[in-house]
Amino acid sequence: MPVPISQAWTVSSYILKQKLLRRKRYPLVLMLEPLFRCNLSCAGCGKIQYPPHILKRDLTPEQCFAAVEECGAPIVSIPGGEPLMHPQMPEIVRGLVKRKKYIYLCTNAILLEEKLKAGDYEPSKYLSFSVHMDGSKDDHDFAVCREGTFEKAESAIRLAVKMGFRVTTNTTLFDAANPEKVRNFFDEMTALGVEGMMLSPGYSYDKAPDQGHFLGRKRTKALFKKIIENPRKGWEFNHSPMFLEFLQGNIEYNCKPWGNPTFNTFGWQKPCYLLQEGYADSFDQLMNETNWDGYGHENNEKCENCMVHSGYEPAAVDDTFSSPAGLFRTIKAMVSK
Amino acid sequence: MSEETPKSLEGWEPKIETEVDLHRALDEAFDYRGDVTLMLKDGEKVQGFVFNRDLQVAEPFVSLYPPSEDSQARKLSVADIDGLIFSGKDTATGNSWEAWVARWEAKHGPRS
Repeated sequence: MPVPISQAWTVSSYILKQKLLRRKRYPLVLMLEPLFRCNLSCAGCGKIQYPPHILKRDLTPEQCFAAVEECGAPIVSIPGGEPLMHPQMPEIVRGLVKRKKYIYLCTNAILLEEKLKAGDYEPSKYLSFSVHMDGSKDDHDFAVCREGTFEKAESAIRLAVKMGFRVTTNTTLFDAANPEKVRNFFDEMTALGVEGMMLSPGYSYDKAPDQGHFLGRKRTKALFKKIIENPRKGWEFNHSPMFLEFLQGNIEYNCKPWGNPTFNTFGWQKPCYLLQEGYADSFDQLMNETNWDGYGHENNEKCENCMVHSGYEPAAVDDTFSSPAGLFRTIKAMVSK
Repeated sequence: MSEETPKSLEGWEPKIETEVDLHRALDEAFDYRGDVTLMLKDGEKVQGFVFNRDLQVAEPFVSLYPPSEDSQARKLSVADIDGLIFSGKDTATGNSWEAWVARWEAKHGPRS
């Protein structure tokens, strides 16, 4: 089981409630970006290219809590930028734990060991560190454009696991990924004791420094099939079974970007975590005034090659809970694993 | 716009002759990862990072953060804007990736 039973129960009951209330669109994971600055400048990232005065801006804890309350999603993912660079991150995390939100604090882990040793965070079933690991040592260091980063993150993972924290990894794959090397890397992460692994094809940010290695849809499916079709013993993925089927091309979904709404220093981002088409002043405005049908791989060229979890994980989860057939597909995928 | 959009917008002052020109330039400013300077019809010049715009609503607007980290966002009516310059550095350009690959390959050899 890649997540605690209490988390699975909270999320399942939340979705069932949305279904009973006949809500067509509902948030599943709030992507809370409290800052854009980062201590890395990764090749495939288009999130941090801003003037210095924008990079210095932080969401306050109060702004974070207000967004969390407004959105109501049971899970809060905190990406960035690098969240551990936010001076009030411990306070933000404490506030979210108090609100019983399941938090995935996404970090490159460069500062993690230092923060853990300083006692900034306490283990909780609500808190997971989601450590950015883009493959084996060489592949990771190359992708994040700094040598020594893998070893630093690996050491921080060991410490976090030892201290009783929930730890997951998140891995972004590009077209140069070698399936066998990725499989060995998953073995390595499993041996470190991580609770689950997240994986995603890189989104083709038009502001990212490296524009030459993003995956197309067809190649994404072929690559992921080679990597996860025959999972090795002990691998746990922090994804719904149907999202893993989707990544391998075994089922097709339409993007549901409303499932992972994004809030940052600019407001509620339209329409999703990856595309920036504008900002809404409130969560309600985002949900009610965004032209959701204008997005997805069939409707928008900017979405053509995207198979990222922020839009397709909600689609996969929604499928599971939408009909007996969806539930059956999910059980079948779980059993055949 | 009667003129073509240049490859790098840094330093560009688009020629604004019509409302369509202005809207297109403001769309570019929204996409630009650097500060711009907006020239208002009353003579004021407003510098900052344009992080939002809605040109489809009854009263089109742009929102920007002035270049001081503790300043509040400013919302300006498009009707008040006369022109703009892409005055700040474009943070999404540069050769950082190429430089990194060259450094890596010099140390480790070519990547397969």
